[in-house]
Amino acid sequence: MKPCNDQSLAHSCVVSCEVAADAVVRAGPETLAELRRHPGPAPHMSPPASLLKHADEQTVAGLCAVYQAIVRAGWQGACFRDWGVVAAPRFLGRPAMVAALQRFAAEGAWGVSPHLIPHRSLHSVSGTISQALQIHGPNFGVGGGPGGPLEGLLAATALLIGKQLPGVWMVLTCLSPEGPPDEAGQMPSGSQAIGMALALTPIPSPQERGDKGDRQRLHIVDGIPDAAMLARIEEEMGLATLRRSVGKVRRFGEASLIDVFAERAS
Amino acid sequence: MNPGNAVWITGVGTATPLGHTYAAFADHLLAGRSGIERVQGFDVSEHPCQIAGQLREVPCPCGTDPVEFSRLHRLEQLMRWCCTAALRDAGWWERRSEVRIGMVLGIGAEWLEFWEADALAGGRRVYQPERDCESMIARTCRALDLSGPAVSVSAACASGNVALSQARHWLQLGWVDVCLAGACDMAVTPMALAGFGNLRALSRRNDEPQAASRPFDRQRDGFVMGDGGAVFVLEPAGLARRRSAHVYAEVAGYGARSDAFNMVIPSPNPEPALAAVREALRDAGCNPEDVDYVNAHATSTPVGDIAEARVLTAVFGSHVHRVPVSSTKSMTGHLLTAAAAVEALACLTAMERGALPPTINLHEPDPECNLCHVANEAQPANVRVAVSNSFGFGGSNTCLVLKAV
Repeated sequence: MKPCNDQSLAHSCVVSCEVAADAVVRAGPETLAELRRHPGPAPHMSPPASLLKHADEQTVAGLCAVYQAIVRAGWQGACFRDWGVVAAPRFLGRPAMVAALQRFAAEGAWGVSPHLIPHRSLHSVSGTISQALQIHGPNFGVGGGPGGPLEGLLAATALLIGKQLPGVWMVLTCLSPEGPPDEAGQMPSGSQAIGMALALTPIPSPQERGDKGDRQRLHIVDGIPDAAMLARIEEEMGLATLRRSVGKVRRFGEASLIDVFAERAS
Repeated sequence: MNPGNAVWITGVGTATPLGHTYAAFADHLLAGRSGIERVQGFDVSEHPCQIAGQLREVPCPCGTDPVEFSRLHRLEQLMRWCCTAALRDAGWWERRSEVRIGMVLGIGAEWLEFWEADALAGGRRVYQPERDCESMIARTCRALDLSGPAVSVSAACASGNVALSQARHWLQLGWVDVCLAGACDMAVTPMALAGFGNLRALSRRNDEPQAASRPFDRQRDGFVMGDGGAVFVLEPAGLARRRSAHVYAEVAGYGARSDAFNMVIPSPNPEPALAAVREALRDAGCNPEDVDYVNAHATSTPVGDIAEARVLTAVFGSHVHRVPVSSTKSMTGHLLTAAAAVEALACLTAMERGALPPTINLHEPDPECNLCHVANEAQPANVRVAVSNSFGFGGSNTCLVLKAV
């Protein structure tokens, strides 16, 4: 395993990869209902209808984002068999849990749906995407809470570099705004399910790159993702406090990760 | 694998239905004792499955305020107990400010378990997203005063193996000096027991709790849930050597492949699981004939145990009848997210104690699971290389190889 060393950060451990494709999908309840039936933008991107029948709203948005990224990159027909999938949902299953708790209170044990656990656990988004795209590389979920995007970027990059995979689909999902579900367990009024898909790949050599232009890169410095990527995630997913809250959690006091990154890079 | 990049296990912390310390766990495991009982703590009279391996109380770590500890969710209590015990065991507890310690834990359904516990206690946290501002792993990291990154991962029942693999990568990439890795789960809750029961995945042998989990036995009828966890301290071999640390084993190899078949049902195609085991052996630089012990995933379900037996037969070929195999879920129950971590601990037990833990309740082996079973009683053995399989919902197939140092 050889981390990619950036000479400007000679005293830090830097790992870098390329964001070879990306897309963001935002969908309210009505759009989600349609996407659940037809998640792919192209006719051949249609997993079995049963795949998303019981899936969480965030899972639908995440899978659709991957499909959109494939189309944007012109990768239709490409094979992702040996890729990995890392998904970082945020508070997955809150609306479904409201409904499940009410049904449990009313009906007892027999009222708990057998679909609740398979489709609302931390690994549910990655497992569904793996199945939809017939990806046989590793798949797992990461985070689940406020710091999920940062946790996801670390885990996906470590998987890509450590296992020397051809690529990893990093999928971030949330409901935004994350308001309270209604009593029927529906998504909060005015809320959207957001899915953001990043295709992370190793940085190609100049020969491999050919005449393709430079792509966005993700750098991890001493286990901290670079601020540019976190800022983009904040903006795309409406997570205004991601960097600051994660910075606090990581014992960097009140400094945001931008400051931490700049400090370590200097 | 570059020997200079070797990652060693130098500390363990655990709590399972078989005990709250590694020593107690190992003693009971090798004695073939079952930790399965009728569920206590909530009414199960309407549940299809009424038995489990439970942790009734999580001990408060020395130096922690017991009142503050008692206010934590049980899963968070378990995480703190296991992490603290592992750091103390490794000799890092008093020196944890000197190094950058990261944390990778398998935590499969933190928020569902938290919201359920709160709602059943009369709370409304599921309706109050503004209050969900910190995850348990972040809080645990802060409470233990650790300075490295912390990540929770889930590949369902394979989560512990994913966590150990991630921690190994982090150490090899130089992101952390030392890393806690493992998994914890407190899944025996009213709704989870009902959910798995309604999925028809659980044993209904409610009148014989200690005989209910019977992997590879012809009379098996489903798995039995369990609570618990295991956390390990991982560090580079060079660092462990310099400080003359006690070394349990090397995290030598890891493989992971996905079925891409179904969220719940294992694929009838054994190829992904087979590829995961082969990848792990290759990563460890081992041949199948080097393996001294296999801790099987075998959960005691009719379909899953046969599928795994086929995988092992394909991997080991004619050697399959000489490689001892056992499923310690027969004693602990299936600890779900924590299963792989606790089974890695069972492998360390085999290495350290020179004895193979048995599959209990294996009185009539299923002819379709024709393996070299360690049936009902522990067997003496010199274990240098141990393999631990863990497969999970979402189609994850993982395999971990541990080597004695």
